[in-house]
Amino acid sequence: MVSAREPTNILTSRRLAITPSRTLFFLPVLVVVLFYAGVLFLTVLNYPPVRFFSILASPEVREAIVLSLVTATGAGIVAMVLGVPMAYFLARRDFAGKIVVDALLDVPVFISPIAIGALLLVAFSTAQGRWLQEHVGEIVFEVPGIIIAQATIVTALAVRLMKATFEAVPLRYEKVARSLGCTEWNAFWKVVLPLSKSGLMASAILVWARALGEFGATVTLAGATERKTATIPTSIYLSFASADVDRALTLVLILLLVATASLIGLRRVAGKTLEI
Amino acid sequence: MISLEGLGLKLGDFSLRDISLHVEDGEYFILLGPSGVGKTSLLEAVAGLVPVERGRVLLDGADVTRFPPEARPIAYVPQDASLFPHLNVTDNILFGVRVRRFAETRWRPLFDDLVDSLQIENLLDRSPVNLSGGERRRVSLARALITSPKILLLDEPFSGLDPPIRRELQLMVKRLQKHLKGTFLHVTHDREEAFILGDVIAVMIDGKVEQIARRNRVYFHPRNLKVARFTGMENVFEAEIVAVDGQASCVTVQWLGNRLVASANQAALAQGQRVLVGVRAEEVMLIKPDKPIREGRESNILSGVVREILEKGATHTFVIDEERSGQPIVMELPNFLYRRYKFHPGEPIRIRISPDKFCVMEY
Repeated sequence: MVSAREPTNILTSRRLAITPSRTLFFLPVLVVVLFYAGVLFLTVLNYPPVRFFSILASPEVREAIVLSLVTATGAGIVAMVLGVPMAYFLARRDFAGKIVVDALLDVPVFISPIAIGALLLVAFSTAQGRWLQEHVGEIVFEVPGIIIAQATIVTALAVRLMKATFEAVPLRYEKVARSLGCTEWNAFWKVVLPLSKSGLMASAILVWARALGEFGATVTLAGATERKTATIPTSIYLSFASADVDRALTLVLILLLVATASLIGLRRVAGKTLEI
Repeated sequence: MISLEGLGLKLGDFSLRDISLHVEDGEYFILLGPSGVGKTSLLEAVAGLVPVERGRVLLDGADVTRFPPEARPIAYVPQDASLFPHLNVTDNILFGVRVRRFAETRWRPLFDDLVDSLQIENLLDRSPVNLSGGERRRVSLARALITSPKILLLDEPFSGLDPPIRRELQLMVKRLQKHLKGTFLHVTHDREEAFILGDVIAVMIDGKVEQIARRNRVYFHPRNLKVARFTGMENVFEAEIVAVDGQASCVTVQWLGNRLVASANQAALAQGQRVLVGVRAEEVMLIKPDKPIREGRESNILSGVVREILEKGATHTFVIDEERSGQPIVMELPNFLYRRYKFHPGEPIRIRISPDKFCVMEY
């Protein structure tokens, strides 16, 4: 009889000795984790959040939280509504100039958000931009401006993420679906969408979280007026500007809690099929 | 029935030119050719999944060349079964009838029949993710057939399976096709599979159809050297026609000192024409040393010396140096004959090539 010993995975076994290569991979993990933990620990130690609840109860902070949640959700919806069809189109079709569209999608990821915000501000301040604002709705230094600024940044990210999701669905499933009687739309609805569900949910959560933390473009286009256009990141900036460190840190903690909660939620929906 | 007329398509590196073929109702049609000659693309063109550049696809006489896939009553079994991983086996099978909104009274009898014929009763509630390769192919067949397609396209449906399972599925599919009187167009690179399943076989090499004929004709009478080589005809010689029979069904050829009778399957053969003649190794017959030659079998006898004997399990492969031509002839000898006569390399041997298995090919 051959002994039924479990094969040892040399990469994951705990019993193996420390080798130079293992140290090489492990050391950065230690450094990064210690750095993040250290920053948080030092801050909380020196500025304990004793006024957490009173700050949280202040109308400015509560309004900033609500505004952040509403605008990030709005921007997320815009990004998904535009992003899903666009990502699918880019994943499945070849066309002249695709390389240019691909490059343009990377621009908001590469370029500083404040530059995007500046572009938006200038564009909406031109004669045509002003005409648009007069006839459709106020944007500059108003709440819709926050959504537009955030959506500009995160739509590109949404398309990037979801394009990868759609590309991971083998084309042959659509071919079989078509041969079984599906129109293009039916094949997308009945096969592609269910197969990319977890990837799309994960993208939506990431996009939402990114919109929640957006600052540069938002503050440039929508301004930083308390109780009007100040989101959580803007309020943090304003608190620092007025040297209210306690308030700034309370808002940081809130942002941290919301982000952590949403990322844990992300891992739950995405399960083990998608590691982000 | 389905007809392809002068079909041409270009996809990436390769192109298919001028493919014409015709599949009758109830026929098992095999498209046989080496891997990577565009057989899959051809099937996808028939299904409407890739655009056709030139030519027409006719279904029961109607031109469907520009129809989208969903408008064609065609089903498709892709190479790896491609079961939808988000649906269980039953939902996979019923995918097509639900999309096409067939009434249950229409599909239920066929569903029960397919579940029974393909032996998938115990798989119905399972997820396709946990099925074996053979089980996946069977479910994929059921999913395609339940839509009662006018024609079923099969793209290397048994590739990557273990030989015994592959054989079992081949027989199952052949039985099912006969039972449903289905029209199947099946592409494969496996010549054994082609000859097991096919009623009609088209041999496609380098993007061109070299021969379309009934199974036996392709097997014993390849049209040219390319087909002979691809279908595994071991013995091919250059010869010259010295006489044509009145009915033109037989010709006498001169092959390096031997005068032999071969069957002609080409219309225009003339005296003096250079041709190729060939015979499959298993059709080369041993003249038993201890028995007289039977009457009527005195022609086409060759003498030679055994050069090599290879043991292959069920048969022994003999390489014989033919006496007059000096060229080698390969013969497959069943084991019982080998054991009875105990041949050794270097010994003389006499063989016969039956004229009806000795074919004339284009030079």
